[in-house]
Order: sequence, then structure tokens, then C-alpha cells
Amino acid sequence: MTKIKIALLLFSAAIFAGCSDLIEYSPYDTDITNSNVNTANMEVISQSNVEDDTLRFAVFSDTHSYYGEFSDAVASINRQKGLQFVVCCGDLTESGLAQEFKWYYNIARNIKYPIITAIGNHDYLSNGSNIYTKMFGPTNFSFTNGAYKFVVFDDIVWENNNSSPNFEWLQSELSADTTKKCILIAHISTWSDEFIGDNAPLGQKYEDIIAQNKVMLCLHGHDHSYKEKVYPTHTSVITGSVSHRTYNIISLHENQFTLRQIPF
Amino acid sequence: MNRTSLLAYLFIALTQSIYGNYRDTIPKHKNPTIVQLQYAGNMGLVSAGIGKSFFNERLSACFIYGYLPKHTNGVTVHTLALKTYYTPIRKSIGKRSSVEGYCGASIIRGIAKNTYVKYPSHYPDDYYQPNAYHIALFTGAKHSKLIKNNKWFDKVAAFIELGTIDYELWDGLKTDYIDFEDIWNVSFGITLNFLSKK
Repeated sequence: MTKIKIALLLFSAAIFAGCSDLIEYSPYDTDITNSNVNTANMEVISQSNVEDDTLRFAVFSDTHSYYGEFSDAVASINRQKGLQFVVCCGDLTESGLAQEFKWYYNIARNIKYPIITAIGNHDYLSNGSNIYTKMFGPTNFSFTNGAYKFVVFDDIVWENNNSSPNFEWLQSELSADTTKKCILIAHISTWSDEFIGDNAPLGQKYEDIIAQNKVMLCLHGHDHSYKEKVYPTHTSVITGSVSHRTYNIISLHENQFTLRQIPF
Repeated sequence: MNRTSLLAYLFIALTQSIYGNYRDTIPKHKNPTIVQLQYAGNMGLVSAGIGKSFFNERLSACFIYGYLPKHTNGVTVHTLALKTYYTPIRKSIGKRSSVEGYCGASIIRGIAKNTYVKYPSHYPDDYYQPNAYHIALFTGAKHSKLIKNNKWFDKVAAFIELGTIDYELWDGLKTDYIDFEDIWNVSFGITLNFLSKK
């Protein structure tokens, strides 16, 4: 009888072990199966060609735990024609927890265009930066499409031990190829909370690097509502937030860009 | 067995054991001290705790330390928890063993990177809610057996629990885009009752 009980116990344990997603060690665990999602999508984007002279892509930000709104945004984006790719400007989670990353990805993978996801300040909470790196790849990266270079920059300060972003990397990336026009994608704008007050010198350094290089457009999230600031050298835009049921479609043509707000 | 049917089976089994009309004939000790070892359940890879049972072993509370080593998934997490549970029903099986159904809640304090009770001074006031605490809810079934002639313990039990945690439950309830089964987890463990006078 005892042997039967032990066998049943082992059988039950084997069943549960097989259902590994029922096993949770900690809310702060970094148990993620998807890896290098950005890296794979960058290859697809870099190899794709623009059908006419205009490059079009969608951009949204701050999905947090607005899963219903995010699903609606995905449906709306999928109805758009002629996009090359889609960008999320960060804050895909509320608390940087693995389950939140999984839920974001489960919805984002339904987008029919390749998606690039930047890291946001909320995604740094807990072990979120480790999870982001596992799931998406490096937090600083760049890719090209046609005449444009997209530089995705991790500019989180407070949640990254209140330390300076890697401005050396940014300077190097923006100045590396002078033949391409640069679009900077980063969660926090130089004029948002983490770059004012005590961190104003960091904000000034950030602005100087952008102004000194061939950046035509900066795309950010963080503030949850559309804002635009025009500098002599470039335009800085805080894009539509999924929580406010808005995303943007950006068209690039030579040195010009047009931006449409899409409510959904 | 797929995940949904497994969860349905567990839910029915556990609720039946809790709400079934069972009688308990196993002798009890007054407020026994218990130790427990647990696998998973948002308390670490493994956790160990010590506590007491009260009111004829109807109410129990344990202080628990849990550990998730770095080699498991790349990060180290320490967990401190207070686990409390109510055992409304106990069915005797013969003279020396019983099956119990219980439900309860744990307060979990995680010690990990960027996890705070009070955020550092460079953050504006109330910028984030504290993220070091979570509340877990669970229901469980336990098979207990009295043990004879042991120097330290007089009862041993194996348990299985079906649980959820605050943010998963909240997000799962507020949106249709999270599968109901996504918010549940399963854990296992054993408890031992220290030998005590009847």
C-alpha cells in the first residue's frame, strides 16, 4: 500500500512539474521563456524595404496593465496599411514583474508588424531590467531602415540607481553614420521629471548630445499624453499613451516627418 | 491532463474537502508548534517556517523564510512571510490519519533588487506604491498522520495548495484579456508537529 502511495505521489509531482507555468517561486522571479524579441525583429526591419519614398511606422507607449486598451490598440494598428514596424516607447509593465512582461508579450505578439519595445522606468522596478534584457535583448540598441537610423536609448535615471544614462554610447551611436538621419526613441524626454531638478545637468547633457548630432525626431512616452516641443535642430514628441487610447503613426520622407494621432 | 482540467480538478477537490461534512476523531494537542517546508507558492524555490496552531488546530500561523537561488532563473530573492490559514474541516481516516481542507492568506515581503518598502530619497514623495509586499491567497488540502516513537515530532503532513497573488488576481479580474487560469499557482510541502503533551 505504501509503495502505491509513493507511486501516486511521484506521478502527481510529475504532472505538476510538467505544468511548469503553474509553479511560481516569487513575484520577483525572472522566469521568462521568450528571448531576444527585439533582436529578431530588428533583423526583419533592417531587411525590409520601403515601398515608396516614405517610411511609416506606428508608435505607442505606457501600456502598463491596461490590457484591454492595449488589445484594442493592437486591433487598430493591424487595420493600418503600409506600416514597416511598430514601436513601444516603454512602461509595458506596472511593477516590472515577470507575469506582467508575459501578459504584454501575449498581446503584443498579435501585432502583424514587427515590434520594437524600449524599456521604461516602471520596467526597471523589482528585477524588471533583468527580465527586459532576457526577453527583448540589450536596453541600448539601434537599427536601420532605408535612409534612417533608429537609436533606442535606455535613459532611465531614478530607477537605475539614480545614475547617468550611458551618454557615451548614445554619442557614439548618433555620430557613427553621418549619411543616415537619426530618430531617437527613449522612454523619458529631456524635459520630463527625471531630467529636471537635481538631475537638470544630466538633462542638459542629453539635450546637447541630441542637438550636436543628426537627430531629426525624438520619440518618448512617460507623460501619458501627447506633447510636442520644437527645438532648432529637432522635434521632441511625447507619444500617445495606450491608457489614453491613442497611438501615433509617423511618416518619414527625406528630412520631413508627419505625425498623426490615432484614437482607438 | 491539460492545465485547465488540472486546475478544475484541484479546485473541486479542494473546495469539496473544505466544505464537505466530515468528522474529526483524531486526538489533538493543545496549540502545537509546527514547522513547515514548502516548494514554490511565491515563497521562493523552497521555504521553511515555524509557527503555532490554535483552537484545536483550526487556526495556524507560520513565520516563513524563503530562498530563490540565482542559479534557478538568474536572480536571488529572499522572502519573509507570515502565513495564516483556517482549517474548517478534517476527515479522519482510521485512528491515525486525517485529510484536511484549509484556506488562508500570506503576507509576503520580498527582498530583491529595486524592491522597496520606502523608496530612496531621490524619488518624489508617493511616486510609486511600495512594491516589497504582496498578499497571497490560497486553499489547500493536507494529509496528516500521527507518528509513533519519534523523539521530536508526533505528526507529519503533506500538503498541496492552489494559490494566487494580489496583482495577478486584480489584473485577472479587471480584464478579459488575462486567462483566468493564468492567475493560479500550485505549491507543495510538508508540516511537522513538535511532540507535545496532550
